[in-house]
Amino acid sequence: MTLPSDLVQSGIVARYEFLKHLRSRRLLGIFILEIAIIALILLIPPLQGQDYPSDPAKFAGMFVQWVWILIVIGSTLFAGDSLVSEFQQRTGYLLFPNPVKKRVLFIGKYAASAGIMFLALAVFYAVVAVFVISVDGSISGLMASSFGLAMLFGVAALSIGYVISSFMKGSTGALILTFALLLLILKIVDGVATASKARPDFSLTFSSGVIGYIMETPYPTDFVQTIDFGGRSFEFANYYPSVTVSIVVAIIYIIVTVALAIWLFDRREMSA
Amino acid sequence: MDDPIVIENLTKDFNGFKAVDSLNLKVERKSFVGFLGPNGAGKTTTIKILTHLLSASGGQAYLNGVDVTKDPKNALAGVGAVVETPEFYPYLTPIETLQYLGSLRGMSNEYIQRRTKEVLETVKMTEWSKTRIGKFSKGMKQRLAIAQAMIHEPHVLILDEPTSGLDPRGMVEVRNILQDLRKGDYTIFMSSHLLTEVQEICESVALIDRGKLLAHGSVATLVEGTGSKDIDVRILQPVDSYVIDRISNFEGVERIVPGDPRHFTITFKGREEDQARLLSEMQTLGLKIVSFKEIGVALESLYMSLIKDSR
Ligand SMILES: Nc1ncnc2c1ncn2[C@@H]1O[C@H](COP(=O)(O)OP(=O)(O)O)[C@@H](O)[C@H]1O
Ligand SMILES: [Mg+2]
Repeated sequence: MTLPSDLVQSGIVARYEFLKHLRSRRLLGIFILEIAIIALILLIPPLQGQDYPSDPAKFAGMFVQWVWILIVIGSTLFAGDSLVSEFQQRTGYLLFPNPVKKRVLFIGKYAASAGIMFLALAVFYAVVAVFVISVDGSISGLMASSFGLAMLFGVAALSIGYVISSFMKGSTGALILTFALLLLILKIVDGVATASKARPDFSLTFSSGVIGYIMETPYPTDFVQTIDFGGRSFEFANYYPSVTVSIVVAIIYIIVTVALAIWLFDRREMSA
Repeated sequence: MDDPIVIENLTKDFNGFKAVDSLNLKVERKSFVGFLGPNGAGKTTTIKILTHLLSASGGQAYLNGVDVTKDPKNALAGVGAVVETPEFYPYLTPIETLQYLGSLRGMSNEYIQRRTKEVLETVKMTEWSKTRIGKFSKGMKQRLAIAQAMIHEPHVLILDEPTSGLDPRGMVEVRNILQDLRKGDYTIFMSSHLLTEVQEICESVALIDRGKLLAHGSVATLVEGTGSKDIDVRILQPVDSYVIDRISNFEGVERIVPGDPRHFTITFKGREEDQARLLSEMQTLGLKIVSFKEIGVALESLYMSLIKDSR
């Protein structure tokens, strides 16, 4: 009996991790959330007495600007405690004494999380496409670009979840921190940077805006708004992430966080 | 061929506290070694280093000749392990779990299927083979843990308190499973704080306290080394303090502890002949001896005295 190569082993890990995700109630939760988001967005125009946009790109854009929320929740549920649980739930006692490197376990788990993210996003975009086609009769090619960007930022968000998962002690803390970091903390950073007229290109949440903006033609450009308030005028900057810079930012996030997460996971001990 | 387990100067430092302190130990092929020590002695810590759950602060640990601290993948290839009571993925069934771990080890599907059937039967879990593990009891998980450790027919088993969490019947069953392995080419290194368990399964013991090895050898040799044993004596008629006094002066008697009036325990040190003479001398005192039985296993007194000495 010879041991499988690292690559084959990471495939095996990915397969069973994927199975675990499929059977967890969390995936069902994500699907329900997707249906809820789509249903709410579909309700708004009729309530306001308006028709759905006849431009398929515009119509789809109404939905895809919510994709970041899905990504954050998906990363929280499918990455946030993926590593923590091996320690906290003690399943590591079963897994780690096997002839497999920790980093191979990591890669398998990571691939499975990415697969689940793909599944969650694909279902969302598919359902949106069905509605757009049934209302407007056609669909915009920009949706494919948006989906590709969503997947890239989805993986970047997962990677941050994995870093948090690699050092946090408890699942709940890891889940909350992942969620808060991706949704609140980075958003606050964006706001502070924008207020002080600095482009927050470095922020993943800011850059993730491309997922929605890509649907707009022409692509939005930065502008400064002047608002008069009590006799004084305030300048507000409106920044839009550039597509190329955003892609580079996402890739840098992935590389740095994955390397850090593997390093931390490799060294982490099964001590409790 | 290399010894299955070789531990050299192994040290584990938890922020200045040495849970394992320059430990040296060799486990020979086909030997069953009990790793004994009081709670907190460092048994689990040692076993965790052997099974890639903890890193070592110093020293080496070779499994089948491969240093597990440097190359865990190859070192663990021929090893099965049960450490603490592991948890299982609640969404998988025993069959799926064994399939997962078996394929990680490079077993073919047919081989996994055959072994899965065998090991689940061995641990009496066949009935539950297709049920998700989520709600299994601790005892069921412990059995499954033993099953997964044996799935690939490893020649080396490393077990940390393998009967913990089991009810008395489960304990007996696990001990029987392990004793059964005597027939094959198996090496067992198992920690326990239960002397009787170790005596039942293992022919050798390694005694550890405060991270240091106190003694290592076959149970027989270690017992011989101490020489003293407890003998339980029951008499037909009640005995008085005069008799007790007389007996305590016999050769080899270190101590005598009276129980109820017809019953006392002698701590005795000496050879077999001396022990036989003790019995006949007691009879010359006119005692009608109902029972004269070695209890409290000599290993226990060795264990206690070694631990006392090391403190
Ligand atoms: N992660 C840890 N951090 C600090 N001390 C630890 C840790 N794990 C174990 N210890 C200490 O090391 C000693 C040995 O523990 P352990 O190996 O579990 O003993 P045993 O299994 O023989 O009962 C104990 O004093 C324990 O408190
Ligand atoms: Mg222990």
